[in-house]
Amino acid sequence: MNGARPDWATLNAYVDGELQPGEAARVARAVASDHALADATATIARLRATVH
Amino acid sequence: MDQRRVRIETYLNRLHGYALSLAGDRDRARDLVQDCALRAMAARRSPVDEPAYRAWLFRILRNAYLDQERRAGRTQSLSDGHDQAPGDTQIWRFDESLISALTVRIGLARISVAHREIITLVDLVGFTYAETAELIGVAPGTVMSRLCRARHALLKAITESNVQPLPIGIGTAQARKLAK
Repeated sequence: MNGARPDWATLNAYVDGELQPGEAARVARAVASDHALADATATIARLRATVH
Repeated sequence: MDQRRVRIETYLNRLHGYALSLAGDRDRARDLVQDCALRAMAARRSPVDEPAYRAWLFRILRNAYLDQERRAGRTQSLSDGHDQAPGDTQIWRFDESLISALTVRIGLARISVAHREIITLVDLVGFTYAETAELIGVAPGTVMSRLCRARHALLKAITESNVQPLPIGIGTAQARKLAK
């Protein structure tokens, strides 16, 4: 997993706050430099907030 | 007795949301919450610790639902049938502007009970993956893969439901014209 592009499951766990701090930081860096990842993360976060 | 009632009341909305995700209709959801509250108040002991109490309460509701299903002769289990499959690796792209309270509600009605259940437990009730795993009796890794499949299914249902928001204050005839 290390160094690889985060997958859909990892992005979901990231938005849910379920990753270990080191892994979360790695995903945050990947999301910051990749538009598709940023879009997917925003979509998951919005879905999560709307189900509330 | 009153203290017990007050304690349950904090969770009534979320219990109702969970019951609705399982039962699919409001009347049955209300009955389930009632059944759950009665069972909880009749219990001789309940967990003191709040997270344990919450888990205990939601388990009572889940069991009440499973009991009803069994009595009705329905043996449909609450698993999604793909739990052995690896989680999604592809990054999915969806039109975020389609996500609204209405489209989510319609989308939730279209996905499977197992998917609706897991989304409700994590997003609405606020359970962690570990708490969810404990409640539904699967491994935490299964919660992660089932949840990401469930969210993918929900986003797909929302996209396919094609509900377009219309401007407020227009008549039906105009709306019909716009829809053409």
